[in-house]
Amino acid sequence: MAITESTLNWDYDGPIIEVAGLQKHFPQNSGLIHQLIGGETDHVKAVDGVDMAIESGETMGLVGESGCGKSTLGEVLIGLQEATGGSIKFLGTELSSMSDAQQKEFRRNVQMIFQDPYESLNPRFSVEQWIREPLEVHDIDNQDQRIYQALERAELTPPENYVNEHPHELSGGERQRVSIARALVLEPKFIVADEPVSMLDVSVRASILNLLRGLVDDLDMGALYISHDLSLIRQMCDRTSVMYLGKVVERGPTERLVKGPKHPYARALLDAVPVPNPERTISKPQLEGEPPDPVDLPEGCNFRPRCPFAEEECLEEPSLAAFESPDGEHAAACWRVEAIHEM
Amino acid sequence: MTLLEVNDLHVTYSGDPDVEAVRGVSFTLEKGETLGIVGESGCGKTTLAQAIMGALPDNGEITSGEIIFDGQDITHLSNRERRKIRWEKMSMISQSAMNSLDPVYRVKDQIKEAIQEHRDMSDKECYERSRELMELVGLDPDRIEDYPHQLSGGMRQRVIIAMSLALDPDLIIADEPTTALDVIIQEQILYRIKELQRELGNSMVMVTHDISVVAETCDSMVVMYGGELMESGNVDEIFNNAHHPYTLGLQNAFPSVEGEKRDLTSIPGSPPDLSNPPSGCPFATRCPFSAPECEEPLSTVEPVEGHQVRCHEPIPFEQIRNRSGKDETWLSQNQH
Repeated sequence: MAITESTLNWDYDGPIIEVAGLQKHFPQNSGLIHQLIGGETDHVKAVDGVDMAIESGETMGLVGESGCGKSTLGEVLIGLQEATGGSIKFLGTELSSMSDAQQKEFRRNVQMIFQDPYESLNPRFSVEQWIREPLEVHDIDNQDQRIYQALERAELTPPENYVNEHPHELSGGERQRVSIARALVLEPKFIVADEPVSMLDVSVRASILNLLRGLVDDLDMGALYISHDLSLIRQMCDRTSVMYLGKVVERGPTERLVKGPKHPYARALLDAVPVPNPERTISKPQLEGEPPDPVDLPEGCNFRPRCPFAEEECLEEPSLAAFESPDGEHAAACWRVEAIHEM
Repeated sequence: MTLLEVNDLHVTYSGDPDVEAVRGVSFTLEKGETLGIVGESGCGKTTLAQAIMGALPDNGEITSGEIIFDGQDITHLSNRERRKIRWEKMSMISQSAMNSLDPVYRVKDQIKEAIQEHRDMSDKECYERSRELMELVGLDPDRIEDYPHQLSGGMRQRVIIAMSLALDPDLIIADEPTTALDVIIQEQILYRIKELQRELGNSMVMVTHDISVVAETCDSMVVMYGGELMESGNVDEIFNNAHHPYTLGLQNAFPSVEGEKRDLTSIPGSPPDLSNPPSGCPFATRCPFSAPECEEPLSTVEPVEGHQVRCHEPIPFEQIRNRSGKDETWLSQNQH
C-alpha cells in the first residue's frame, strides 16, 4: 500500500483557495422514460467556468440576483457539493486528488455560515451541544476549552451564560453568533458566509458584520461573502466578484467596483440598491424581467438578451480579459465597457 | 385632504400574559401620499397595519383610540361591515402573501374570486380585468393560465399586487412587500407600485424595516419602537433633521452604496417586553443618552411643524445627533 500524505501543505504561500474553470452542472429531464426514448439530457449550468482565488486574511464578495449560481458556487468551494468540472485547490492541493486524511483535514478547515439562524440551529440542542458536535465528528480534544473560546470569539460573553441556552431562548443576533461560534470552533482557514445578516434586524447587522470582518483579520482566514446587496458587500469585502448565470462577469477591489462598475449587469445591480437618501426617488429599473433558466444559454455574452447596450460584437463570448484596468486589478467580461463609459 | 387618521391607537393581544403591541400611536395620511412605518421586528408595525386593515388575529383587539378612514370611524366595525371596505376601499399586500396563493387554482381563478366576492361581474369581464391587471403589474397576461408554482417569487408577489389593485382601492397597505426578494426584483416591484400610484392616485402605507426603501418611496414616515411612535414627519425632514436617538441609531446602522464608505453602528440590547411595558420611554434601556427622567411617561415635542419627536431630550438634541454616528457611543451603553 502506498504511503499517503497525511497533511496539507501549510507552508504554501499561494491563495488559500483557488478554482479554475469550475463547473457545477445539474442534469435535467433525466427521468427513466426520457432516457429510454434516448432523449438528450439538458443541464442546468449553475456554475459555468469560474476562476477565483482567495488569499488568507481576504474577504471576497460574491454578488448577483437570485438564481445566478452564487450559493451553489459557495457550496462547491467548501465541498458541500461536488464540482462537475474544473479544479479546486486548497492550499495548493487539488481537491479531487486528496487522500482520505487530506480530505478530512480539508473538511475541518472549511466552514459555512448560513442565512437563516432560525432554521440552521437544531432546536433540541443546547448551545454547548451544538458547538460540540463538529468537535466530536473530527475527534478533537480539549473540547470544553475550545467551546468557550469559540463563544468568546463570537462575543457571546461570558460563555457560561450561553452554554445551556436553547435556540428559542436566544435573539436572532445571538443565534447567528452561535452559528459563527460553531463554524469557528474547528479553527477553519476558509469560511463561506451566505447572506449571514439578511434575516437579522438592522440594529444588529453592523455588529455581526464587524465581528466577521474582525475574525477574518485576527484568525487570518479567507472568506467568501455572498449577498445580493452591494451595500452590505461594500462594508465587508476587500474584493468583489459579480456573478451572472453561472459566470463571473466582473471582478475588482470593492470600493472601485462600487464607485465605477464596468459591466452593465454590475451597473444594474448597483442601481437597484435603495439608498437612505430622500433626494433620490426610485428610478426606472435598468433591468426588466428575471434571468433565464441557465439551461439553454444564449450564444455569446449570456447577458446579451437583457443588456440595453448589446451590439453585434456581443455574439462572441467575452471573458474577464475583455476589459482590464491598467493595473490589472479590475476586470469585466464585456466588450463594450469603453463605449458604454463614453455614452 | 386626509384619507386616514389614526388617533392614540392601542392594540392588545390577549394571552397569558396580555401583550400591548401598539401603545398610543397617532398619524394622518393624505390622499395620494405614501406613509412609511419603520422599526425593527417586534416594534408593532405589522400589528398597526393589521389593525387599520381590520385583519388582526383573533386574540388581537383595539382597546382604545380610533381609526378614521375617508371620514368614517372604522375602529369598531363588525366583521361584515369590515368586509365591505376590505379589498374595495383598502387592500393589503403582505410579506408572506406570495406564499398564500392557493396552489391548486390557476392565477385567473384566484383573481376572479377576489373580484366576484365584491362586484357583480361576469366571468368574461373578470377574465378581461385579470389580463389587464397582469399587464398593469408588468406580467405577461397569458400567465394568468399558470398555477402559482409555475411562477417565480417575484412574479407571485406581482400577482398579489395585481389582486390588491383589482377593485381599485383608495388605500393600499404594503407590509414588507419586497423583503424576501433580491434587489433587482425589489426595485422592479417598488417602481411599479409607485408608477401605479401616480396613475391611479391611491394612497399607501408602506411597512418596512428598510429606511432606504422609505427614503426612495415615501412622502412621510413614522418611526416605531416598543409599540410606540418615536418620531414622525415628512421624509426629507426626518432624514435631514432626525432628533430621536432611535431614529439616528437606525440611520447610522444602514449601509449605503452612495457617498464615502463609513463605519456602521449597531444598537446593542433587545426590545422591551410588552407584556410588562415600561412606564417611561421604551427605548431608554438601549439608549446611550438615557437619564433618570427617561423613566417618566413620554410627551411629544414638535421642533418643526409636522415633525413630532417623543423623547425627554436628556442631553441637547444637537449633541445626540453628533454623538450617535460613532459606534463607541452605542457600545458604551452595553457596559452598564
